[in-house]
Amino acid sequence: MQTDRNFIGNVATGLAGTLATGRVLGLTSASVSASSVSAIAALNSPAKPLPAREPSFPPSPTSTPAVSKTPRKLAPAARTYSDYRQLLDDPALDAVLISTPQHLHAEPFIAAMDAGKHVYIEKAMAFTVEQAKLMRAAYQKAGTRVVQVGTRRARWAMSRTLRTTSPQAWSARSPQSARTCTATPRTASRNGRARSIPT
Amino acid sequence: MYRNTPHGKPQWTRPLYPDMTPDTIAWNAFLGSAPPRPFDADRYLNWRLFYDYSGGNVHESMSQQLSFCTK
Repeated sequence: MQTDRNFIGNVATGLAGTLATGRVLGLTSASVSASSVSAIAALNSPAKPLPAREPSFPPSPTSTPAVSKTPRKLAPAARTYSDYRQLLDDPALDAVLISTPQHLHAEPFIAAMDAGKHVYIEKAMAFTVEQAKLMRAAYQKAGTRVVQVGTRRARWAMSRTLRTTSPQAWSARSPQSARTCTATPRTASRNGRARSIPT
Repeated sequence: MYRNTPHGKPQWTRPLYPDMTPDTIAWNAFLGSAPPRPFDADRYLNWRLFYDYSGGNVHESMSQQLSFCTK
């Protein structure tokens, strides 16, 4: 599995020749707009099938503005589902993003692998060791699916600096090298942007 | 659990809305395999603060640091 945020790029390049990039990325045209990103779906709804007496999630647009209105504003053409299994059954979707709470990571991940989807899953990948083993088995069984876990350290400025200035150290990186690199004032970063620290 | 962020910009605690009720939230679906509990909007929205749904700082922050060493 990948551990850096190069999921989209690897989905596009790793499967070149078997799938058109636009289809893999879920883009219907060369320009990226919210309404065109339809083949990459986000799973942030609960993992269990909903009881009949309960409404769909997210709530209707008239409630909880922070939850329901923002996604609809960003992607008004996006389809929504009350059960993630309905989403995974959609053959038009190539990849899914799993951003459920951590205790709900394993079930949709394994289902996504079984459905042949590529997956970007937020950290931490698994809630328990047992779940991690089941997820790994599902990944291996799926074959050529691309999976990325959403950890950020490897893309921060200090990582880029170490990678370019000392490839040997990057290759042999360890907790010690991480501390050494972090201690270099010029490579400290916030949100991936290099910044100087007064000494 | 605490995260050292600027004052007024908490990243792991979010305000609750009055319409977060059992009628608008699929509580049992959120619980999943977690221990059953009565409806609690705070647990639903700020799940990172509860070990039933998050691994705490080891999962939330340490996983980012350890990923640096992943080959």
